[in-house]
Amino acid sequence: MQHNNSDTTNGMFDDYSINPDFLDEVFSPDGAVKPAYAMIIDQLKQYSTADLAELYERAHQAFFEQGITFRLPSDKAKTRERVFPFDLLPRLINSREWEKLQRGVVQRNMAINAFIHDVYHQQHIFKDKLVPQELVTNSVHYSPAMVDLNPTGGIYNHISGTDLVKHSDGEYYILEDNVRTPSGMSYVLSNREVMKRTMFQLFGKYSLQPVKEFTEHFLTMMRSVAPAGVDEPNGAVLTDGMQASAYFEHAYMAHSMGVPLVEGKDLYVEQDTVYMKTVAGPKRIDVMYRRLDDEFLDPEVFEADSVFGVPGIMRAYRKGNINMLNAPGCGAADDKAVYSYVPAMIRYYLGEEPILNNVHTYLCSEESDYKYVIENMDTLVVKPVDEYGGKGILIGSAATKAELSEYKQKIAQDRSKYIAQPIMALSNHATYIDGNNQFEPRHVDLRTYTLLGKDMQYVLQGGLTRVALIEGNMIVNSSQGGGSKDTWVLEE
Amino acid sequence: MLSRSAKKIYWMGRDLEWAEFVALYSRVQYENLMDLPARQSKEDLLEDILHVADAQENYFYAHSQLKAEDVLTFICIEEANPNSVLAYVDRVRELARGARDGLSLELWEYINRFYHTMNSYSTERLHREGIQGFAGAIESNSCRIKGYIHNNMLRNEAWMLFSLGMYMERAFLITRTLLHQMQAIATQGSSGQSGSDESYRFALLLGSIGGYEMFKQGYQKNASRKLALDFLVSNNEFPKSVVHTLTSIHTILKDLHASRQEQESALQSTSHTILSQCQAFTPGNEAATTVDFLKKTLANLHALSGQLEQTYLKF
Repeated sequence: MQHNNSDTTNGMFDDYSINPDFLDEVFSPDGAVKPAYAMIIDQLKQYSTADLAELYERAHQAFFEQGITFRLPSDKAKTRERVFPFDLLPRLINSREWEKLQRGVVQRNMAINAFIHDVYHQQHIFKDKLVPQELVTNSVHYSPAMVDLNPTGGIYNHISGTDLVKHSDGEYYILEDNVRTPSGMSYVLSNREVMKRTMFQLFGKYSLQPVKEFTEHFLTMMRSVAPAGVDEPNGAVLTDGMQASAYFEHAYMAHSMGVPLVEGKDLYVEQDTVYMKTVAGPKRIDVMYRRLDDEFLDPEVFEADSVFGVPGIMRAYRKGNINMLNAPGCGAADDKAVYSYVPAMIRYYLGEEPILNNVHTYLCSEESDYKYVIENMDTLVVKPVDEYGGKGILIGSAATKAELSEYKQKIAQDRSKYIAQPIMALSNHATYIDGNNQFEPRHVDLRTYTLLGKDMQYVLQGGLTRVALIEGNMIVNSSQGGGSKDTWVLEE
Repeated sequence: MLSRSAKKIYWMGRDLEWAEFVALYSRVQYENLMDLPARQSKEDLLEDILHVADAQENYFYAHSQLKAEDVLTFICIEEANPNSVLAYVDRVRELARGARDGLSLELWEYINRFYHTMNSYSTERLHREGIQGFAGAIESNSCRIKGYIHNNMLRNEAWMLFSLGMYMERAFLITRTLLHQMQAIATQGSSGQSGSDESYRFALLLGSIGGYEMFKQGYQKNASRKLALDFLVSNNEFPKSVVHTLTSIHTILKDLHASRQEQESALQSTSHTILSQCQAFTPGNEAATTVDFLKKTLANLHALSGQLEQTYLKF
């Protein structure tokens, strides 16, 4: 049953439909505004459509001027730059809920860290038959170069992006772990800046956690894992260059931490030590946040024809003369099939019960699971284990018979490459829909960012709320047309 | 600072200076075109603008005739002109984007906003507003960016490299423009140019460089070849003179070199030699002697900038 929400605001919520199959984060099932959102909605009531359009234009301009833009390959005009869609109605998370989320993601990422260490050392978890060895060692992201390598500080996944959804039961569920080179944190910080430039009146009405400290914690984390004996470590951010789609973020992180943004061609290795070429001569690098995929990192070890990497950097790393964030080979732990074993890892390595829920996962490599997936595909979401950004996903309920049949054939060709999960009822959040000039419910998820350093853990206060802008769509990734919202963690 | 980032910041300084110089030069020349004395050639003035904007060859490749409107579009925004002012603004933004870690967020936003503002100019808008709108926006944005750098940036390598680029380009532009003028005089000299024509030419040149009022304040005389050359080459009080820019370059090179903790470099010695030669310059009556001096200075500047890139900006 659909509930029509009328007279909530001056026309912009008139056609807002609350779908009872999904949790709506802003409105109760009876159409009343949830108390936490009352002041925001009151504020919005004061705006005419023209006012709101002006605020959106101001937000757009703020992103534009900061250079947070992208260009589509089809954009012929050299100056045709686009801004990622951003919604001015923030998502609110109360402190009690956040406290649990925070503990849950730290717990999960600490277990993943212990797992990565184990995978590249004694492999107890395989011997104890909790995780099938071939699932991990056959992964394209498993890195033999990491075997018996001990990164300074004992941390592998220094920065982790954990994707969560809020289900219709009101509980958060982990959807995905990202421990290779998770991106998006600069958008969290930029979103807040843009909110301050546009919806500044709202900030006085709420008490919320700041996000700006994140880069300071990041720098502290970097310094905490610098090689032993280096009192004043030199840090750097390694980028694959200005053409990279996430270049803005690479530059943002380097700039915010006051460390250089280096490319492979700026670096060289001499006597197993990494140096950068500076105006004042060679300067040693001790700890590097690298935003370059493993395969391009060191042509001596990975892709031999990589032009982005640094020949010999893995030798320096193994010798402990440089530390890299995140460690190469972390991808073996964020595979979508390995995901299903994370609760077991938490129990195995930490001796604790998982704080956050996993979504039940069917591994197509398992006979009984495979049979279930083939028979019930129209009620499942099927994903390739090693893709990201929403690529290759099939949502059974939205697929045609032909698409289902085609996908079944793909699975049959390489069963170990696919997993399936029940379709999660991603919560809805009121979102302004340009063109319709009104707020409508759209599905959202949440990516949190966890930092692990030597004796430190920190979670970015809020994370990135991604919103699927197409009505009914559940894929929120920006590469699939998704937008974002500022996420406010409210203080008590 | 990374040599790669340093190179970008150095060229950012050079390209910004170039864009501002050409915009100012063209604006003043175009304003002059509106009430040009009958004895002056409109075509000469347009060619002069194209020469300073390093666009002569490309213009005549694209156009068969000299038309004021075509020249305006070509030097300001024409995509077919790799040396258009807009192309330089685009380069400044790309260089800044590539050296983001060496710049503050505010500075980056200034530059990015500048880029978007200038790219909003279409041919139609350019002709509707005239060069005043376009060149005025270039000049004011460039001054704002330089002002921000001057008032807010640490006096670190990034600041030094930006300043070096700016002064280096300025030295090149002034020397090249003077050389062009002197070559024209040397050519026209044989056909006989009156003193008032020459005075008019140098007054216009001073105005196009943004130095006419300062010249008047400094000398309290009308412009003549000798005084204009003295002002633009040797007057250390005028920040756009060759001597002033070379003095600034020499001082910054000394500071930059200090970070290496080495003896005086070959680069410093080169800059010192060029500076001394320019300080010793006295404008005479013979145009050819001045032309030789300016040609030699230009060659020296090329050598100096090559040496600078080799010493600090190689990666």
